[in-house]
Amino acid sequence: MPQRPLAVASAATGTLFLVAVASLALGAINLSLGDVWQGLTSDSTAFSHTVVWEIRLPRLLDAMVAGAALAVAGALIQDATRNPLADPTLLGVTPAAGLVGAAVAVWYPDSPQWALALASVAGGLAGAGIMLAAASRGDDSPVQLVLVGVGLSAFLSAIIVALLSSSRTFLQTSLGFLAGGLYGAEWKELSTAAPYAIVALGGAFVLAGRLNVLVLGDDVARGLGVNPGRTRAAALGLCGLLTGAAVAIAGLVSFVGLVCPHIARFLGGNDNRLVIPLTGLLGAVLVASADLVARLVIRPSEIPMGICTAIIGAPFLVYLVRRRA
Amino acid sequence: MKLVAESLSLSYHGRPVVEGASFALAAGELVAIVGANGSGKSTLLSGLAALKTPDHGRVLLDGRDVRCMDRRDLARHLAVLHQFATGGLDLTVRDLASRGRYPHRGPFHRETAEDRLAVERALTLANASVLADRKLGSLSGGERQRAWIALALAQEPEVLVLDEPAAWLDLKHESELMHLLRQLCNRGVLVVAVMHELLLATRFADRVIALAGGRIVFDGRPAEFLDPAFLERVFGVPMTIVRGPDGLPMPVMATGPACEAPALDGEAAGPLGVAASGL
Repeated sequence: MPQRPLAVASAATGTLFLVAVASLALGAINLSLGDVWQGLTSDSTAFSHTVVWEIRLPRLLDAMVAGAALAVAGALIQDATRNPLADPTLLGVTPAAGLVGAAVAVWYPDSPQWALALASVAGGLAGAGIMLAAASRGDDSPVQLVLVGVGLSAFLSAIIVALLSSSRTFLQTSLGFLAGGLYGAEWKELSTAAPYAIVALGGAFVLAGRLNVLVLGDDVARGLGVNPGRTRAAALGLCGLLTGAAVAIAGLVSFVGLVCPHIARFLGGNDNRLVIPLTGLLGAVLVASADLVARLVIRPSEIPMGICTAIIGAPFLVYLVRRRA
Repeated sequence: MKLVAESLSLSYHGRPVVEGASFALAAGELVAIVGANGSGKSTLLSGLAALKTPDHGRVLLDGRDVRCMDRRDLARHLAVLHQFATGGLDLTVRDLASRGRYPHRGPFHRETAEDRLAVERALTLANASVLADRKLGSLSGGERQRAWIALALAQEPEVLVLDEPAAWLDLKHESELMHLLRQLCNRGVLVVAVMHELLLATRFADRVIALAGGRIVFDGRPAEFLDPAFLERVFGVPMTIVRGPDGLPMPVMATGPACEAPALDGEAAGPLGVAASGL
């Protein structure tokens, strides 16, 4: 099944390219490939240039960065907790990032975009910190960890909804935030959040070799020369950064972090040095295609992109659970 | 390689379990650590492998304190087989064994031909070659144990520390494992194993270290360890030594009076006896 890393990686890259081209061409108004090319290359004031350069390209890049970040965040939290069903949303990291981001947006409506991104990242790190405390304290019990995470997640999600309902403003925006969406996403979301994500993606790649050993168990890892406590803390810290950046771009998107690592392992084997980059690629593909679908189904209007990832992700979750049983 | 414990004291969950253990082990020795449950065997082993910080004393590997060594450097010399390893169920046996190359290769470098060779050698030695492409989660306890042994061997250690290596193994694989450990010793590897099975320990080891209540009560040749009074003190049950068919001494549990089957006596007055004498 695996052992064709190059073929798998090229296939994923090819798919991403196709989705990217489609995302630039299709929408409320369809552009021909020639128009897309012209819009990308000419710095004219042509209509196609505005559509491609000001609307579709930033939105596509937003989708790719958020998708890659969430997917890799999922791979990291699954390895750090040694739980194949772990996911940043399920274990409260996404809601923590969302709560802090939403609180800043509601209480300080005039905040610049960089402050919102920073708030989401800080929230993500705080959520990851809580998970780290829970993971380090429990006697290696995955059940206990998931219970803490699910509790945290439900608690924070409730506060987010309470916060947004009390604000009486931007109902449309709130819905997009809660369900996860890229409505109106532009360059400023990308420029303020992507740096965190890119640094953390690099960090995850550096950590991959140690994660290969960490998944064997703390004692075994120690015996092979890997410090399990430090590796787990680094993995969860990077997970918090990535989740925070993704939330700042796309709101509360679920299931990307759960499914992408599993698909990557299915296609690419178990070596995290391949699985982590592949997971990132697949996350970019999934979110970019979900956003494409979200923009097309009821065009010229659109549905929140997070709904499409959930529609793909939820059945896959059921499939995974049944396959393991 | 020389592994030396200097008045080593260790705690488990805050409770002192090993006190003042001192010994020097040399390359090529097969050392069995024995003792009753809770006597501190596994904790002593963790101390030797630098998985636990001693309360007092230290462990020296060729004169270097193991707690001060870089962990990866230590892992190139010393491998540990843990008693309850539960991770890696999604990995194939070969993938698992190849992670034993981590200390040599580090987190970034790709596998070299030398690494692959070491992994195949380890799989062969651990008798796990036939399992190489199967996932750990699909194997029986004994098969998994062989996979974990392959991981430890892939490290190509000079000191191999094992906690109950024969647990889960059936008789055939138990005997193969003991011969493997002997073979490693002959190549100059120092093997230290906690052993539950007294018969295995005394038959295969060069040296027995017995713990009772956290203290070393015996350190010497297996033949000298096989003394009934002594065994009773270590294990808390009456023991006798019998000669096996090959003439070697075997420790067995002595049956106390309470366990003995009632002796049959021809003169006994039972219903059947009465009937017989009446004829």
